[in-house]
Amino acid sequence: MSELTTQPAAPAEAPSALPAAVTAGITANGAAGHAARRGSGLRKGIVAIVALVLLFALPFVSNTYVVFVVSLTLVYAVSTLGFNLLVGWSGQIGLAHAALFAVGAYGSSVAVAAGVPFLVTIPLAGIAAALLAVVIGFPAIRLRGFFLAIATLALGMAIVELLNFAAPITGGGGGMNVQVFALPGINDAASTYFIVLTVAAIMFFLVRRALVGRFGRTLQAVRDLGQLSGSLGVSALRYRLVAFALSGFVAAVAGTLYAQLQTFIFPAMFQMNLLVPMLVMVFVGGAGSLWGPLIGAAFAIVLIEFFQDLGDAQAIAYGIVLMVVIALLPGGLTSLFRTLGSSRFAQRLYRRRASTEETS
Amino acid sequence: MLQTLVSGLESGSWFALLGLAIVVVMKAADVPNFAMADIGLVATYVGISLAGAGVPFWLAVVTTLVTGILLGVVIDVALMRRLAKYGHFPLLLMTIGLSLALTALTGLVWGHDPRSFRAPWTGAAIEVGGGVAIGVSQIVSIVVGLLGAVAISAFFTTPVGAQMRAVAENRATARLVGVNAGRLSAIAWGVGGLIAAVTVMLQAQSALVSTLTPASLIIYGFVAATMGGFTSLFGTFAGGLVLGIIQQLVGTYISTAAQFSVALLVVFLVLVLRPDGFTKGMRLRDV
Repeated sequence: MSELTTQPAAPAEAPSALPAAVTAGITANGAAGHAARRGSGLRKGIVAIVALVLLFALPFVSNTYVVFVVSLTLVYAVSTLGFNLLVGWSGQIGLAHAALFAVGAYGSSVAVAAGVPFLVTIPLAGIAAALLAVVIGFPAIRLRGFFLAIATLALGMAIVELLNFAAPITGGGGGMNVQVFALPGINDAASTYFIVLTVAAIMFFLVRRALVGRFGRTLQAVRDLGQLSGSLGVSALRYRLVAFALSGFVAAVAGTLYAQLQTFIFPAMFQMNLLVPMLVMVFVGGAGSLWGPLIGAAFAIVLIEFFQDLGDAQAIAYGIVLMVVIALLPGGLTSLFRTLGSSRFAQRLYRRRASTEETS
Repeated sequence: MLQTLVSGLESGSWFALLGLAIVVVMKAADVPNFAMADIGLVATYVGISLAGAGVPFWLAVVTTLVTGILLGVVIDVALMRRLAKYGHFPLLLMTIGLSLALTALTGLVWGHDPRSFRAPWTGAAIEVGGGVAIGVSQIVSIVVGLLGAVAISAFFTTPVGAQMRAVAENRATARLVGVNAGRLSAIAWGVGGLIAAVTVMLQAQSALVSTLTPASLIIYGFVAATMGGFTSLFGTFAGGLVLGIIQQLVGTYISTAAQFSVALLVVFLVLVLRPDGFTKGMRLRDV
């Protein structure tokens, strides 16, 4: 907050009928906002880089279980990033995400088995899934809301069923082993972790670049205006399909990492039992937020790991926690911080600090 | 062939009834209820337990129906209504969470073994000639399904039903002219719970039900509702029956593994080709 006082606030010159102190307060508040906005980009960047460096050190200071859980969290965070782009930013409840995730996992694993280097399969699986996502999203031309949800749900389930039928390639319901790619010189868990972390960082960076700015705002405009956005010269249809393609790409990239992490995949992994946690992650992270996916993924993973040994009670606990969260925080867990931030108590704190700094 | 058709009509009646339950709630409360089959399962298990404890059959049936109604109303009042103003996504998730919790709760209380609701006529069959026998419970399913559809259609012609149609048509205007939308959504959930209880009970008196039943049943219910465009009662009912017959034909002549995929394909085709349901334009009796 030290840079706040250095802001050139010029309340005295303002030709205003208001008492000087009030004007000073208003200007100070405004200046605080500007300063926060100007400084926040840099500050956030530094925080992100520091966090990234700390995360890179993780395998050297903890056991393989922790490394695995953090890797899984990152994979889910990437997948949620794509899901959030579709559900939150473009406002389309497309429920084929688990299937696209599966396409990434199977696409990469099958390609690796056929001799393609793993790192090459990541973008390849992503592009394949993006094309498939456009096909799945095509009903979006005519369908809205719940109808789109049900159509995409059906298509997604059909894709997972297809994996069962394509037994010669995918091993059918019995599943298939994944050849794990390892960087030379380190053990498998750490190697997979480094790849997951790197890819996750790249995906977060790319999606952030895409969403902060013109494209993200247009997506939101299409979400809120629908066909009316045509009067702004924006093709709602094209943006909806692009959202599907991007989210499919991100989902498949996460899927390729997931296969590497699990080392064994089978179709039943990608049914409703995956889609539901994915929905939870989007919801908890807050639909339409950028860093929410990380929070959502961490929440879901902690929940899953925490309730792991409860058997039947696990599903109950899972359902009940989900219901309680929705009932208490209909805007997701991240809305809690926003609610707290805009609460009267926090507002008073901000105001007092701003005015004391101005008067001292 | 006849046996296949009857089996198709039987399971088709279950799908049709559940589809109707989904449509009723969807119209009045604007929620696609993924927990509908679970509500029916809990109610049915209550009935099965009572019947197992020596309670007369019809009393157990009535208790099952009342449980279904109560569950529906309680869920609406306690959970769903406050979320309505936050849009579609929390509502959708809430029903999914509810479905998870209810299924797991059922498993915890009653176990995961398949159960059946023994009716006085269970096991009896009627010879129809040519060595083909039709189970009485199959006939019960079909007849009750038909009666249920007629009853729901009749319900929508009563004053309450007319108000529900008004809310479905335009919520804000309906409220302006004095329709109590909250009361109506509770009624819709109650009716939905009732139909769901009937559906699962019908399945339990003819076949076995377990905690795995709701997951597949709800998908088929949604397929039926989709075929009716989520509005048409007739379309939903006919869609459910057609789906049941397709299922049985696929199961008999292709493979039982393909049944589910075919159902999914049907949804997709209907939504792409006729997003308003395949009876749209016929306008027989829309809700």
